[in-house]
Amino acid sequence: MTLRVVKTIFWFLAGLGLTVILARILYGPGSVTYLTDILPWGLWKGGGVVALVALGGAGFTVAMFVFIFQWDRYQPLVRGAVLFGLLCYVSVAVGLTFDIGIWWRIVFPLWHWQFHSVLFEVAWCIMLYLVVLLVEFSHTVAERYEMERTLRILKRSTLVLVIAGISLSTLHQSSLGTLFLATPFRLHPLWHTDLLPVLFFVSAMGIGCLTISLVTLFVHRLYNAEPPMNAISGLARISAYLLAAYVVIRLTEILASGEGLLLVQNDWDTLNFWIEISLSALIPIAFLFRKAYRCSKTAVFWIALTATIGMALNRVNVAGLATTNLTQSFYFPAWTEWAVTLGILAAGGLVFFFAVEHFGLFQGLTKEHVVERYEPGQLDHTDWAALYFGGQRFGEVHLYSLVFVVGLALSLGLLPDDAIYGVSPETTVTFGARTVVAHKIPARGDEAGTQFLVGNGGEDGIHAAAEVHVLMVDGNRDGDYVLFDHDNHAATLAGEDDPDASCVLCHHMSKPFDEATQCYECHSDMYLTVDLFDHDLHARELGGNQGCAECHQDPSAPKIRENSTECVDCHEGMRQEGSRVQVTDPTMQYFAPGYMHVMHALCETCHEERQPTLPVPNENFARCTNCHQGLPSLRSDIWKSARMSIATYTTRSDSGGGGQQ
Amino acid sequence: MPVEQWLEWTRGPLFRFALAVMVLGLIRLVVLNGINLISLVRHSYDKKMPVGVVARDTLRWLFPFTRVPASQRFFTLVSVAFHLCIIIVPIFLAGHILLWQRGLGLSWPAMHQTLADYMTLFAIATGLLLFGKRVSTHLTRSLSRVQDYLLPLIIVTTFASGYLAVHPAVNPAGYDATMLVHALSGDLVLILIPFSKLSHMLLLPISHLVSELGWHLVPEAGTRVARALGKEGEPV
Repeated sequence: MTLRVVKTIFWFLAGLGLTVILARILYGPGSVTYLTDILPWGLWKGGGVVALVALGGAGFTVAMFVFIFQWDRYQPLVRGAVLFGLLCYVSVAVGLTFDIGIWWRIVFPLWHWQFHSVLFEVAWCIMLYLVVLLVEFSHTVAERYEMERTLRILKRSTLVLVIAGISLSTLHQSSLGTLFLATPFRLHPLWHTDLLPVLFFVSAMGIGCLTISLVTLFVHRLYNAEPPMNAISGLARISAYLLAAYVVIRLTEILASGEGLLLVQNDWDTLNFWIEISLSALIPIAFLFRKAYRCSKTAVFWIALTATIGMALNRVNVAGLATTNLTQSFYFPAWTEWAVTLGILAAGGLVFFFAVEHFGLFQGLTKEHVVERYEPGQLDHTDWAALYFGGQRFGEVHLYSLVFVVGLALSLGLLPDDAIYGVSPETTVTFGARTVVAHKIPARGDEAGTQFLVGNGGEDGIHAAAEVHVLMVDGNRDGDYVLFDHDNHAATLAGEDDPDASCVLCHHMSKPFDEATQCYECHSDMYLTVDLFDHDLHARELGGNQGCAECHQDPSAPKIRENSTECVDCHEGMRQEGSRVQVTDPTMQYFAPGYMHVMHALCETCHEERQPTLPVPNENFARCTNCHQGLPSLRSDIWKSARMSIATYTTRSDSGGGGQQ
Repeated sequence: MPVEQWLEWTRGPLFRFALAVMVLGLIRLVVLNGINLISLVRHSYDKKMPVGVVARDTLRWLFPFTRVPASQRFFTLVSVAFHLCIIIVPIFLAGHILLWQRGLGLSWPAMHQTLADYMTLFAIATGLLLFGKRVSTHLTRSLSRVQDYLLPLIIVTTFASGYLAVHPAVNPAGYDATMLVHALSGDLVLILIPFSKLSHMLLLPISHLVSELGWHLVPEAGTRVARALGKEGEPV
């Protein structure tokens, strides 16, 4: 893989991620992630923050070896390690900013001091450490631009800065572990332990040594330079000891706390645990204790890669993946989440390459490695790709800007509609009413009104009550229902001459060839307003293109609802005269509000009006309990023993005038 | 997937992608050309830029009737009419503005539908004329690349399918299919803008600037380049 290919991929990923970040600013993380209220920490927090802090541990670890312990062997890596740490922490800051709900509140810890919050401590440590890393790295920049005075001041303050960096890292690396002590009922016991702070700190040092080795080897390979293997093999040895300590502490703790059996269970969490600990520690330890592997570029590269992936998995597990079992939720990151995390990492990688090329980060990687020799060669006029993307500086600018733009645009095209237009509510389809036989207990004196009882069990005397067929109104079929005595309503509200006169009061609009269309047919969503017009059906029925002019009569006007023929112009009997339901808003003529809303509105309005005229006074007549009588839900266990015969309700038009069953 | 869903896809995700490619791609071209311009000025012999002259010449060249040979007056007019129609109609068509309003809440005054109809027909006719002109003579054929033939045809396809979609009475095909062709070809035009000669919609002034500045190169620059490449005395 050449440097150019890697940079091309990085630019593309950066473009992909940038669009998602910008979109996320519009409508919040919910519009671009699969996170839920039950599982609010996913890839962004686990991978982009918790894991990256651990990987960035390279900065303080190597600085400690070089400046405190005076191990000059690691001198060649210290600048790279500091910049790597800096980039990790900047990525953490960027990732965290766009992960929290109200993103601009990322700065709130500066003046809203919460002394009881672990996150408050983590936030301050990371902010301060970021400053320390910046000052440490400015050493390299000052040297590059020969700023002698600044350099002198920086050199004098090196020791103070390094000590501050180590202290701050010790604090926040461990307190990130402390944070998850607060989740004993979410986190699987294989991960949740009181020693999490210790484990986080030790593993961060161990993995830090390996990630900087990995990055150094990768960069030197890309630029065809000789990596400082003496330093890398030394770091690998130290890291083997640190990781071994980590494994010992972790397994001992699990066994000591009596959770050893969990290690041999046959389930997903145990498998996850063994994969994680093998990748992050066991395999690396096994190889790195042998000198032959420690001194081989290829071996260290692959071992370090394994360990880095494994340790990242560990942090992702603690932050979210190992909580899926106890929270009974499922989560796999959306592509948008991958795009943001990978995009931020890719942008960090590009900055690292820039620093490698311009700031002399590694001693063995000189200008000769960075600048290829210019060899003009013969120009082929027919090879447009070489003409456009060839050459050095400008060819690269052409290529990278192109993939960046394509990445940005592709991401915009692929974004879910929620991210563009805002999160849309979920639809809840409604169903028609069913019929059921109920025992009707008429109102007694001044007590509550008519009561229904369903099922074959219950008190004595119920069977004496009249059996009636009533409608079971359960729009979204969730098992909670209201019983509605349709026949009684029809009879009570009927006119003296015409028994059918009462229908129109509620059935205010009918479908073609229908006399009393059921509510759910138009109010087809439980909560949302829906459009009643079916354009495709009309286009089909009116004979395709020739039929357009039936409704779109003015050819010079845009073909929209406002410029088209009114529905009632053709469907004359659609709106029933004398209905209780009057649509006053002209723009709402052919929209049906949510089922629940219209049911409540219709029943309540009528009951309120009729309450004063009741033959038997009933103060609950216009209240919730009049209809919601607390009958057992269909999901209730009662129905395992009791029986209730529920039948489909058929209207006259469905059954050709058969009436209800 | 049924046709309606494909239609939604071309009007939603694909359109967003195409529009972003067009806008960002054009910005990229301007930036790249800007870098080119800066390096050109930096390497030029005479760093004094005749800003007034360049601005005046650029504007003069943007006006299409500057220096037209007598034989080409008709096709110059055709070309200008074609350009005006294909720029104005898509932006100010009432149906398009409705889509913008529905999606992003943006809206601006629309042109009258009848005028849009005539301008669409005019765009189709002039586009076909220009295409015919290009294939008719040996001279124009020898000057033409593949994209010079394809681009007018794609644009004409967009306008023709748009016209048919608005006028179902004269449309032999179904509405959804026509609309799909319209949206797909429209998206294709947007995507092609930054990668084809269509980018002249933004780069034309810049290319004029470059050609004006080009005269200020160091004398003997070509010989020096040849010497640097070690190809002195060879024919270019």
